Amino acid sequence: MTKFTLALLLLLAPGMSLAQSVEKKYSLELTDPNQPMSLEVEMRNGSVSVEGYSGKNVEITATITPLSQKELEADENIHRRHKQNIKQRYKSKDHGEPEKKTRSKTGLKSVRNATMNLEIEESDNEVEISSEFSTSRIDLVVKVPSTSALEVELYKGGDVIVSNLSGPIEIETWQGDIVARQISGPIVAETHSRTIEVEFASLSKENPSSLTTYSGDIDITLGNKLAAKVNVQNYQGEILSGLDEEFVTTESVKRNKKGNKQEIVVGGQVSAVVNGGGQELSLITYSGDVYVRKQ
Amino acid sequence: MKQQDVIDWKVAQLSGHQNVPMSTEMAEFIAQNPMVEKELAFIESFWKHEPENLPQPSSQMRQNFYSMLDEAKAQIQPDDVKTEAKPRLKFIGILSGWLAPNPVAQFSSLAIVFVLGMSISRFDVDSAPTQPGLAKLEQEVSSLSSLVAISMLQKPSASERLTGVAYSSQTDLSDPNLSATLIGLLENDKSTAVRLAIINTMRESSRLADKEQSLIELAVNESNPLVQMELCRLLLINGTSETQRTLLEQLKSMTLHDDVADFIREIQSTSRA
Repeated sequence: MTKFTLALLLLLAPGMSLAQSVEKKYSLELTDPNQPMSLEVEMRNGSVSVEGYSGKNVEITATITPLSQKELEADENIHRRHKQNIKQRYKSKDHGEPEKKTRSKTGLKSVRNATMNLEIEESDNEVEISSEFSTSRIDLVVKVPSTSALEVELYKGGDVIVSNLSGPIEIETWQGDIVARQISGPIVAETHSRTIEVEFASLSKENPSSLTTYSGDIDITLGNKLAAKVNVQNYQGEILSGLDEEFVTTESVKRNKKGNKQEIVVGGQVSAVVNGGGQELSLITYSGDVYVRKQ
Repeated sequence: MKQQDVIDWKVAQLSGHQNVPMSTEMAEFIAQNPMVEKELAFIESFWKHEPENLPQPSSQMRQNFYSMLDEAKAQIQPDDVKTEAKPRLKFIGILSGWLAPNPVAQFSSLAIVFVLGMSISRFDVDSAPTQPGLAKLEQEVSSLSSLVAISMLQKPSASERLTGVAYSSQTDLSDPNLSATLIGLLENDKSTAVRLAIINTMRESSRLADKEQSLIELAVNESNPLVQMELCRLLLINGTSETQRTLLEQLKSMTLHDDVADFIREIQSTSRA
């Protein structure tokens, strides 16, 4: 197992201003370079770019920029809202936890505001990069073998960009765009309010793919020979298709056997069978538009 | 040389368990038995996920699959529900192994159950419904689908869990373990896509009534607007009138997300129209 922990106390670096960026590079050898690997990235602030390449090592470049006071306050507000959401979700359950007492902060200053922590760990070809409680922005650029499996969770901050990967991909962001180019999936990607843009070189037959955004657009491009069943579920937005195949409604008014109950579709789902059909690719957005393009 | 030896060899080759070339004796046996050759082609087609190329199996092949499934079920049932010990075929041993927590192997078992399900659907169209074995075979496949679905639903990968949901939809959700697993994921899965897929599966199920109380609780407490909308739509359209009334009463006393409130109003107005 290989493990790097980069803990930087910026207060101890007198030559560096709080707004200054630091770039760090690491080359990580895998336990077994001839076997597939997986990369898991979990970060709070920043952006992630992952590129598949023909090499066998994992090449990591991390650019670390301390957050400004304004960004820190905004971050703290989001963190507070997130905690409230969790509380709200579990409000009906009795976890037996006592209410947290509010303590005075008079005369105290936050030390955490000047620290960052980035952890990189490799064990049996599974690489984990995490920085959950950093008060810096971390922009990661990672090169991995092109067959790698990828999982990225970015709670706040910038975009996730992925390219040239043939392994399974899972991405979750809250406020950043998700862009994936020349991938095969399966991909399950989700963002709350931003755009998801995916260019499929092919589509894995193994498992379904799904792209979900609440208020952002979804823009996909399918390779010419790609076979899939494309399902679109949107509620308010428009669907714009460049496919030769027609989208047809897959849900309709259904009656039960007695004929006294019917299902009426409000937010409809439409599907297109592309090149004879194949694995399912679902595109779900509430208020965004859906663009389906052909290469 | 027996037919089962040839099938065992083929499956072992396909699964990567061994890489032994076909013996002369086996080649001669296949040459003398054209049905075995067709059966090997059938196995290879669904292993490679090419259902459109599947040859129509003969009644003998159907019987072989029926036996295989029967044996498989006996092998994977807990000891206390096993009724009768049956001789363990090598092939079944491999199949049972596929149900172990190995992603690649489990996917192979998924392919088999899926294509068997497809084949049965095809038989239903082509064959007279008087064949009692087919009904039992359907039952066996549903049972295996439930087992594989539960296994897939417990995977860490969201796309594998989506596959698990797809397999759940091939059953009638009568398996209590499968139902409990689906409800658990509907409540806690981090992927919105998985949660929405589960709701779609329940929409198609005829066994919604016994889950309605749990679903009302989930709908009321849900913080994800997309999931909350779809839960409300499921219950307001497919639920009993008592469920609809209870849900609407509870929702009235809550402050809903604007989009959710609009969505529910739209469902109600469309239903009344």
